[in-house]
Amino acid sequence: MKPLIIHNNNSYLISQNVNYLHSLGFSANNKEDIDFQITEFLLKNVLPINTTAIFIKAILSTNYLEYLGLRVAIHIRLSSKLPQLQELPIIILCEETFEELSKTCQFPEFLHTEGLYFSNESPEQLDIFINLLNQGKLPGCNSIPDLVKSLHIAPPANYLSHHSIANEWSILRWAKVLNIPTETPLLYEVRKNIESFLYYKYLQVLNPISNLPGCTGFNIKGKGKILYIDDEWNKGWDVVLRKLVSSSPDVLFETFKNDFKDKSHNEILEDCKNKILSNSPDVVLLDLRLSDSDFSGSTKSNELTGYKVLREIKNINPGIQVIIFTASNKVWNLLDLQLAGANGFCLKESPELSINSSFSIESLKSLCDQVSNCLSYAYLKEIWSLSDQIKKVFSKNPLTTKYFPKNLHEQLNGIKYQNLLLQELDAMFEILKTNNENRLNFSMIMLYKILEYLNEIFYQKVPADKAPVFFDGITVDFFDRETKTWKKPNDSLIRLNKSTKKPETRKINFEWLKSTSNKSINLAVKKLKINDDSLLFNLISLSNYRNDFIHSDTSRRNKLKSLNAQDILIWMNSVASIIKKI
Amino acid sequence: MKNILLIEDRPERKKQFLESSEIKTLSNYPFLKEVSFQELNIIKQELLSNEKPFLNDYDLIMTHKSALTFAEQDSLVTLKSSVFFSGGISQSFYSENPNPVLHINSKEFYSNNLIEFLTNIQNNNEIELLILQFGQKWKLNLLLNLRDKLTQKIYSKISEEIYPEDFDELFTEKLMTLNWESDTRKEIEILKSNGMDKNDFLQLDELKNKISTFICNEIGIIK
Repeated sequence: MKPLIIHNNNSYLISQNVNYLHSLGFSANNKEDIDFQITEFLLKNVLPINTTAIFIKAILSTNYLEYLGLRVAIHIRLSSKLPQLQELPIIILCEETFEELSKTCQFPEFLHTEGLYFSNESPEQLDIFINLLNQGKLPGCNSIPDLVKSLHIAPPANYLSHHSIANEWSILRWAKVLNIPTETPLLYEVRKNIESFLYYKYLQVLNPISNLPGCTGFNIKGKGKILYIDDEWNKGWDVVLRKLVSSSPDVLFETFKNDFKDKSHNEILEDCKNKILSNSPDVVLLDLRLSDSDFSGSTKSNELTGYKVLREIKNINPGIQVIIFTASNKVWNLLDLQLAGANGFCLKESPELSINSSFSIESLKSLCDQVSNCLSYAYLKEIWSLSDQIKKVFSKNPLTTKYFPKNLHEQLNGIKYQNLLLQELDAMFEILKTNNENRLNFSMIMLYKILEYLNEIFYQKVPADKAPVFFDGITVDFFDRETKTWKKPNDSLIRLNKSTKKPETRKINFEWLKSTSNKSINLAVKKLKINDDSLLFNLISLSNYRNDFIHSDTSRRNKLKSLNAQDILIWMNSVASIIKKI
Repeated sequence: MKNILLIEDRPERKKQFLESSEIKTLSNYPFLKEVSFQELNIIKQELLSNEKPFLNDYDLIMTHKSALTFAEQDSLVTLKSSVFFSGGISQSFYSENPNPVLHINSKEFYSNNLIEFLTNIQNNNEIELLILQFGQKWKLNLLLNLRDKLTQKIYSKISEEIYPEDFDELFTEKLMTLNWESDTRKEIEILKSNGMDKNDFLQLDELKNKISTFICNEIGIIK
């Protein structure tokens, strides 16, 4: 085996046709990035050669200070795809003294690493190296990880903050975990960068992507619509996230395929607002930095475009769940976002987080868990929407309409209960937002309370021994929920005696007439002319559940069917149907 | 006066880079024209056609790489000296075929080197892309290139004759504008006019040593 010399036809050794060296010319062009060209050259031309050591001319281009030869040497050391070359002795051919090189080259710390030597091209000097090689006395580099620890390789200069790095790094790592072939065209650009850029090679020595295990079974629980907003969506995130949700058939995923490039905050904000309104998502996965200006060092967290989009989403409907999906791990940003209503956070995996191979898997699991959790709160969007519709009804000041008396005292009373009703609505939304385990029970009680306030608004105050009467004088009847028929206050009905288990005739009493459910049903059917059996059924079921819950002891209460979000939505819809008819 | 075009399709990023380099404005250089969106469309059309009335007025085009398509970039490099800057460029790279072309990272482009480069044009009416690439080290780059080429001549002394034209190639016009000591300059002129016999390599060695001293001075190493 012979040593190899890499040159650009700029070594006299080539003109001498020395037969003790393999010779390879490297000539860069201005079509592709230098790192891409070096990577391709090493894989295509250098890798197939069996060699004992590599001589490299320090200069491989027109301009000396580009020191492309040194860059090629670092590529060899850091390229995991060149295992048989990585540790070979490398001799840099240059005229500079070590001191001169240290002061002029871009990576002075590399000059001090193991297995790297320097020589001018004089025949005498080259003989010394060839002899040492032949005697096996020219050691290579024994530990690439140790070498990496002594190096500092900066990312390409305009990777603003570490945002782009975290994006590309996590896209490829997560794609690997999700078993997405990196040959996928939409991942091509990222893969090319990660496999070619010296900076990524440097990162990969310590945290190799190839070592990541492929993983399946990522599952998002629940159903709903996810909207993904990110200026880097087309770099590969769209592919990765689509794959992540693909095993959850009840989850619809859409990427906002917007062109964010060089748009102002306001333009981006308007684009996002229109998209939210047209898409009506349950969960938004939102990047924080959507505009070039977000990368200015002086930008405060509440000036970031993502923060403003979050505020806009919560302004449209605070029930829409928002997960901040960001490369920023600045705690103060996260606190501000939480105060603005963010429901979850997921960090894109920046290189410093890739401390072990399980981090990527844990990140993906965490994202699935957060989306699942947000989907379990997705009904809040409809709750808010119904609540908003109710508020709009009252904002039209219905107390002055035909239903209500002109009596000032009674009007004031109506206003009081209207305000209490609105407060109850807000309180209900607030409690539903929490993770309090009793939040659904609380909201059920609040909905019932809203029905009571509604009755207070519509019914006159009457003595205990009188049947309820609306302000316009119309009296109520009794709705027999068992036979689903209307009875007059003086009618009797057949009821099963709970003790004797025998049917008995019972006269309708005032308590039954004055019950919240009976008054609400009268309000819906008699006053507001709503003809909807399911509404009546829902009002009765709310009333029954509430009474069973409130009037039972703990052991009986525990036997009640647990409420779910759908129950609350159905009851809320019924209450809203009544109010919207006002 | 030389005329230069600057094409930037991401003005917001330009603003940030200039701010981070503490460069307040580029408007002090009347020979530098920053193109508008409309003018960019004209340039794109001209690059793909035979008529180039707009571009003909300019000596150098400096453009954000993504502002032009690959076909437009190819057309530009055959037409003019050009500078392509982009965030994706890992290392600056200069080539001279068919025209001088510099590829440089955006952050390095929007740096004080740009100001030095523009000031040099303002003062000397000379486009020197090496200043954009290396800033104050641009002369050092020339000296290192020279020493390397000279060294190759010395090592190949046995097989090659050295002719006057070899020295023309080594001591380019650009290189001769450096501040050589007067006796060195004289010596170079003699070499350029007379050439050298193959037995005169000791003289070449001496010249190389002088250049090495210049290099040390540029770097700040005391020999």
